[in-house]
Amino acid sequence: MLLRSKFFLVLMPLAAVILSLFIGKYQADAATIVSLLLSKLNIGPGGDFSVNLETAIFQVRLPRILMALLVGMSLSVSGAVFQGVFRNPLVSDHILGVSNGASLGAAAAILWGASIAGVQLAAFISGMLAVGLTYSVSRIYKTTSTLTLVLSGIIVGGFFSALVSLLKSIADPLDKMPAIVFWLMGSFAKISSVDLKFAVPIMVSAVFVLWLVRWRLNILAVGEEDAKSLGMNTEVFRFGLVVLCTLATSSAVAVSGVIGWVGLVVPHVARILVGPDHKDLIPLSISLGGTYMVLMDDLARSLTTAEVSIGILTAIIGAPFFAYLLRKGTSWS
Amino acid sequence: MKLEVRGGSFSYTKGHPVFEDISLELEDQQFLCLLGQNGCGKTTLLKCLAGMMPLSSGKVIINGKHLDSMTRRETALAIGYVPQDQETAFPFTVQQMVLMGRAPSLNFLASPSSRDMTIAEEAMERVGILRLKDQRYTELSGGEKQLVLLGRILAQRPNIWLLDEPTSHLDFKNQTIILRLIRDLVNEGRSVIMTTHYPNHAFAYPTHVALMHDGKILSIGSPEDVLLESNLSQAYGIDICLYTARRKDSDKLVTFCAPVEE
Repeated sequence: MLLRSKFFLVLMPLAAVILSLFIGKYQADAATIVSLLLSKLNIGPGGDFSVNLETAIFQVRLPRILMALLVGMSLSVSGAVFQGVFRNPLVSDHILGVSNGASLGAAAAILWGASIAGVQLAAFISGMLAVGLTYSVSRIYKTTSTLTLVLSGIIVGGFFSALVSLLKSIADPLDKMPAIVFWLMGSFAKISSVDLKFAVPIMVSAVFVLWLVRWRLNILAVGEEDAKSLGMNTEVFRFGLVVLCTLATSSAVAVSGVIGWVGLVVPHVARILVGPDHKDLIPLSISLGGTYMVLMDDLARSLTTAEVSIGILTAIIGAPFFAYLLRKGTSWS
Repeated sequence: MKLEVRGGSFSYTKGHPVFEDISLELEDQQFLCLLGQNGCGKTTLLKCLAGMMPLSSGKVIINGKHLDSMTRRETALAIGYVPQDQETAFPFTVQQMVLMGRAPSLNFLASPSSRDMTIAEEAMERVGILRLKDQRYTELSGGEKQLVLLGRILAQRPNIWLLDEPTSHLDFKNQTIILRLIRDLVNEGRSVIMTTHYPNHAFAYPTHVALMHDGKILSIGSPEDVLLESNLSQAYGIDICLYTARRKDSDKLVTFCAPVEE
């Protein structure tokens, strides 16, 4: 089947990346961009290209597109894995409080004036703290039912987002406050190669490891006692997976702010397309998530003359789409 | 393969044991049926034997090896366990469910190979669910679900099977199908411990019966020795009588029990 073929799963995001190189504020006709790209690959006739064009394509657009690709992959695969780990198709980074948690750490680090590495570290620590809290609050009734997990996620997320608001209100209104506010809305507009240096290795390795263990995820997703009786050290495996997902998500939050709904909607679409087997679900979530984010970012930078925050777009599209999926209800039993 | 418990006790809170000082042995091709009231400790005992929870005191020994010293994976290659109410949030297909039985035999990063597929197909064939292979597990009937879980253990290939009430929620026909299948699999070389709420199942199918009462084993041995009116009455706390009946057109006698009605 097409959606399970490796070729297609690589081709889809690749096509989105190439298409996106042609979209942006800098005016250049497609033919020029094509010959620039070909000459960079040493297959074109070459020619004189303006420095501005080269900068626009390779220093501005390409890093931004690659970042969108990676963030989309990270958020989507984390969403799919979180859903499997907590055996609950309704959880996502957002519902578990990870994004709000990571936001608090990152906002505090921005306020402090920390480096990008510091922002990432702070985002990771408070993201872990939030997901840990959510899980332990949900264990009050000694079960992790859908309802208690979602409820405790709302509690923890609400608490962390209040703390983020507190930070906003004490931040310098001329300088730090707008920085935090715009960053929270989610955007790839200010991506630089410095960001890539820290975030890329973390996100790439997290996504890769999650891809490696894809079939094993089934065993954990099917049930706690099932997994134990099938020889799995569930506590260790689950903890490792939560750490990886939180690493991927908080790195994404640290570079691009909060981009909601992707981690919920993409795995659902993937599950409708290929079913719950993580062997197919994880690769498709990665591929779809990357493609979706790249295309959304194209919209973000071309929809209006000013940038639209991508977090706003993914919510405007994601929320009603998720309502539509709920109506169909084919994603879970 | 031999499973042994020696002096096994378990308690959630100190001073309130769920079961206490339990010793039993299970040898090759034995089919032990565990009977007793709700809350007598059957399910908890089975969980401890399966390594889901550690005993509070005493030990479980598998082929001379302590269960505590075995990894989960080693345990899974020796013991298969089916919990009472298996529910899953995701609509896996029957084939995917049965394939999961291959997990302990596979490398951590591996996906099932074509050989594993064959093993799973054989298992599905053996328990008679090959035709359901592409159906969603979540949409099956109770009896079919139970067959899928038995198929999964079959693909897992342990020698000791621990089944917690495999016949609960099943109709008359499906109970019989499951019990016959378990009996046949025991004759093919497995050892099984099964809990049940139907004492009449214990007359016909198992090789051994244990009656539990209040966290202790009241009586253990062959069905004829254990399933006495006095034992059953004590275990269930109601008066129970044994009846022997002859089938209309044959000399075959069957024994069963029923509560005494005034």
